[in-house]
Amino acid sequence: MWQKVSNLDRRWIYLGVAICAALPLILEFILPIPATPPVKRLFDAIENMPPGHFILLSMDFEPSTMPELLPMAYAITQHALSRGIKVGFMTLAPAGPGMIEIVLEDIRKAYPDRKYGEDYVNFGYKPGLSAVILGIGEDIHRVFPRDAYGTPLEDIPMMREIHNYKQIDLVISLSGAGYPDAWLLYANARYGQAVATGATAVMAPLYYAYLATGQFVGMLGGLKGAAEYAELVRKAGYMRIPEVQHRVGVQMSSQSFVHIYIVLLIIVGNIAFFFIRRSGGR
Amino acid sequence: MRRRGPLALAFIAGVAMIIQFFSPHPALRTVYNEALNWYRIISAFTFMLGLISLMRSHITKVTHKRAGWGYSIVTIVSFIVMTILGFAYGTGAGTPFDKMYEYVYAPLGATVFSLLAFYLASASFRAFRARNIDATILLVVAIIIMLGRVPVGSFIKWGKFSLPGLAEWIMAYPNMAAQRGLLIGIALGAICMSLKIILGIERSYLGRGE
Repeated sequence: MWQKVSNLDRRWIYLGVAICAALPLILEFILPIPATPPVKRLFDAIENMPPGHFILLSMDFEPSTMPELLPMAYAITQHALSRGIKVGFMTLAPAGPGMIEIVLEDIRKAYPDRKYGEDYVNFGYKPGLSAVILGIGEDIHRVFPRDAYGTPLEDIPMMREIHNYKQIDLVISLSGAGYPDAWLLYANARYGQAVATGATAVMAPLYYAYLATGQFVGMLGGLKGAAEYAELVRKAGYMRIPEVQHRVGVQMSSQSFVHIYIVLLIIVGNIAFFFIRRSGGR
Repeated sequence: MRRRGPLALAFIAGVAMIIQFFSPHPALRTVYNEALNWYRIISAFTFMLGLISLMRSHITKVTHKRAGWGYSIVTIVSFIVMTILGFAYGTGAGTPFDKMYEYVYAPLGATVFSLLAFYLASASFRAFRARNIDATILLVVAIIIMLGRVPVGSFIKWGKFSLPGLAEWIMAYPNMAAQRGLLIGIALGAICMSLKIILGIERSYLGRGE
């Protein structure tokens, strides 16, 4: 019998995952999501920033990691714009410009009082990774002579006084790859720029070393980090796109169910393993 | 000369970049800014190379009808369609390119990545076995992290201790210590490799053969 359990057809396992993932999405229930210290640190950094200051949000990701990272972009942008902090969007990922457009489309509707070019700007994509990050330290106008829509940077009001990291209060790199490392190496180590990150759950463990040293101001780890940040933004009364916060909350419930299911699978698999080994099998 | 030229170039460029890092002299700042410009331009050209290489590889696959050549047709057609849409209508918000990105490429990318959950569940069931002490520790830690990193974990508490708190402690201390060791090792390796390239000891970047 245990041998049968141990050799369970993977299609049954897949079916279980599908049910556990879909059920909370259909029933739309949300579990409470308390904020962890790395998320709180990033929230406080933006919360304590005076209005009129500037953050650079580098959306260094592509559609594959969108479910985890896009909600972070929404939450951070809403937090910053609601507090009157200016936001510059850019990406180091070739397929990243579309991600920025998805966020900006909703931001334009939710923030009619915030003007493009005065409160936020989209620099778009530029190849060259380290050269781009180092170049911003010298002069962002040289790296991005025009914004993503072809307007010269000197014609954009908010960019007249922003030239390099001295005028950038915080850089946040959202990524599922090694881009945040590059921001640390070239922007933080070379220019002393404050950097924070939003990473996929797979990448987040790597960055605790940088959090401990204070090189990262704060970190959002995976969908959970996004959900925690969105909850903080909602509680502070800055949430203007509630659908995003609701969606990410429901997705976290879905993730909860799948995690419980996987833990149960591991326990059952080990019980089967124990009994098979006791009976002399492999 | 074919060997010495690139080696000399790598040496001069490497040493110049090291010197400029420690000097604020205006001449070196100019060299540095120019080097950054060159780097960005060369990076843009690598895209073209990658593109040509990708298309050549898929066209060869289709013409020779190698295994999976049907997928290569999809790649080629997708590339042509997106290129035409991009050049004809632009890539801004609301353009056909943008619609294709948002409603085709983005959901497909996310779907492929989400398949990992299914494989992860199957692999966990088959491979996560408490065969010895090491594997058992890994197993217990994995369960704590898996439950502690989702909202349902916040319901599991013992007095002052909670599962998310324990998961966060594991991430912030044992995990961080291990990651820090790895990162220091990687950084030292990168420094050694850079020095070997600058000094001409490591020559694999020149290609095969002498």
